[in-house]
Amino acid sequence: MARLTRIQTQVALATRHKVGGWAEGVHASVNAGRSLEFHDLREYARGDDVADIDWKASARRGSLLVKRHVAERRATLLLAAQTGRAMAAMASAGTVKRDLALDAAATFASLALAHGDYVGVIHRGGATVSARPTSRAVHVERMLTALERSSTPTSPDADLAGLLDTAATVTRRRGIVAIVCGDVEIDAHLEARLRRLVVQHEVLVVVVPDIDPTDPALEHPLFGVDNERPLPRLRDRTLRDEWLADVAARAARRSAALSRLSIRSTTLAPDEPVVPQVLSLVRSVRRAA
Amino acid sequence: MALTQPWWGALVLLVLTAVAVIAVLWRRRPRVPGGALPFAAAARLRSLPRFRALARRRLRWAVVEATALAVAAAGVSMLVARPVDVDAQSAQRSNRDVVLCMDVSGSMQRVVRDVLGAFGELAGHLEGERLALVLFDSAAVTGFPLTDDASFVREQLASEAREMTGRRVPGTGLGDVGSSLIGDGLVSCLQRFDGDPDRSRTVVLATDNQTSGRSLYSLDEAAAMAADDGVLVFGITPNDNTVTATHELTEQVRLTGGDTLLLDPNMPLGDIVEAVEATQRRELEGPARLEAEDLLWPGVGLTMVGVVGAAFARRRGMA
Repeated sequence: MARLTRIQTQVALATRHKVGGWAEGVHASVNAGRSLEFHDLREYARGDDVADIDWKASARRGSLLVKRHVAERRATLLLAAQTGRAMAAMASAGTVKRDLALDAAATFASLALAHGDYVGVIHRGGATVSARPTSRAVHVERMLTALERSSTPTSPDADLAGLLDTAATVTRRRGIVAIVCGDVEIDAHLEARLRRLVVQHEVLVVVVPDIDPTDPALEHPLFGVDNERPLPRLRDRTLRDEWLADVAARAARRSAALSRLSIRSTTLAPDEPVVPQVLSLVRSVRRAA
Repeated sequence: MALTQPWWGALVLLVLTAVAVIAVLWRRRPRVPGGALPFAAAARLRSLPRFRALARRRLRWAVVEATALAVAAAGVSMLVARPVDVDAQSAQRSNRDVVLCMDVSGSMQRVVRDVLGAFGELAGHLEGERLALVLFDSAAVTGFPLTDDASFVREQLASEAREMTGRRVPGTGLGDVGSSLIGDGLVSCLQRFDGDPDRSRTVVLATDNQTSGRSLYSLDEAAAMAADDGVLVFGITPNDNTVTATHELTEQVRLTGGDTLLLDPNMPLGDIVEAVEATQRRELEGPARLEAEDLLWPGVGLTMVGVVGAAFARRRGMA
C-alpha cells in the first residue's frame, strides 16, 4: 500500500473525534472574501460587484443587499526533509531513519490534505528539488517517493542550511514549514536561517534519532555510512556513558536553541508508531495558538 | 650452535617477510561484514575521547601482535634451518693420552704431594683425555692405567696423595740396582701407552733428575726413544733442584718437543695443556668426527612465545 494512503488511514482513525488538525479555524478566515461558502448579507455599498447582489433578498427588503462569502485561504504545508545517505542509516536495530522521516512527512501531508491545503516537498542533496505545492494526494505521494529515492546509502549528503534557504524563498505566503531532519547540531548558521523562517512561517521540527551504537543488546555489527568502514564491537561501559552523555548534551543544546526561536519540536521514538507522535506535536502547536 | 640448513631458514624467513610486506601493501579496506547496520553518526562516535583511547589501545595491541608474529616467524625459520649443537671437542680430546710419571725416590719424598697436586690440577685442565699414573723409583708401578674416567682419576690422585706418608711406595724398589732410575722410569712410562697410532701421546715426568744406580736406559736413550715414538715429554722439577740436573733434563725433554717447569704453586700448567692440545691438532686432521645434536628448543621456544603472544595480544586487542 502506498505510504501516504496508509498514513492517511491512520491519521483519519486517530483524528476522527478529537481534532481536525491545525487547519481547523486557522484559515476559516474572519475576512469575508470570495468563495462558494456563503457568509452573510449586507447593504450594497458603492464599488461592490454587481454580480454579488442578492436580488431576491433585495426585493424582499426593498434595498440592495449583497452576499458576502467566506474568504477561502488555503494554507501551504512545506515539508523540508533532510535526505542523503545519513537518512539511509538506522534509527534503531529494526528501523531505518528514512522510513521514520517519510512516515512523519506523510503524517503532516495527510493532515494538510484532509483540509484541502497545499503540500509541497523540498529536499536538497546535490541540487535542490522542490515541487510545486499541490493538494492532490497522488502528487504528494510522488513527491514522497522522490524523497525516498534520494535517501539511499549512495545519495549525496544533505545540505540542511541550503534546504532552509530554499524553504524561506519557495513560498511567499505564510504557511507551515515542517522540518524533518536527523540528529543535527543547531549551530549559528542554522539558527539564523530558522529565525528567518520563523518570522515568515509556522515552523515545526521533527528529529529522527540515530541508533545507539553502544547498546549491549545490539546483535549486529555497525558500519559508518559516511566512509563505509566497520565499527568495532563496542562493549565498553565508559564509552557507552560518554556516548549517551554526548547525545543528551546535543539534544539539550538543540532544544534550547529551538525554544529560543519558539519552535515546537519532537524527537521520534524509533520503535513506536510515528503518527501519534506527530499528531501530539501538532496538537501542542494548536494549544499554544 | 650451528645451522644445518641456513639457506632453507633464510628462504622461509624471506618468504614470510615477503608475505607480510605484501599483506601490508595490499591491505584492503576493512570489509563491512554481512548483516552490518549502517550508522550515521560514526564520525561523532569516533571523536569521543574514550573511543580514541580504545582505538589507541587496540593499535598498541596490534603492534604487540605483529611483533609476536615476527618472533614466531623467526622461530619457524630457525626450526627450518635446523640448528644443531656440534660437540666435536670432547671427541677430539678423547684421542689424547697423557701419562703422569712421578719419581718417588727418597730425594723426591718432600715434593711428591705437591707433584700429585700439580697432576690433579693438570687433570682438571685436561678434560676428556685418557690419563695414567706411573710411580717409579728403581722400578715402575702403575698407579692407574690409561682411563678417561675423570672422577676416577681425581679419586686416585687424591688417594695416592693420602698414601704418600714418607715410606717407599711398595713395588718401586726392586733389588739393589739403585734408586731413582730416571731413564728406566721414563721408558716404563712410554710403555704404558697402548700403541694406538691415532692417539697423541704425552708424558709428564716429575723428577729431580738425580740418578743413583745402574740404569738400563740412560736419560738420553729414553728421550731418544720418546722422540722416535712421537711422545711429547714434559718435565716437572722441584724448584730447589740443582741447576745442572734441571738443565740436563730440560735439554733432553726439549728433544721431544716438551719443556721443563719448576714445581711451584703458580706453575704455568697452561703451557702443558696448550702443548697437549697442539699435539692433538697435529695428530688428528683426518677423522675429525662431528657429533651434531638437534637443537630444537630455541626454535620451538621462539615459535611458541610468538604464537601465544600473538593470540594473547589479539584477545586483549578485541576486548
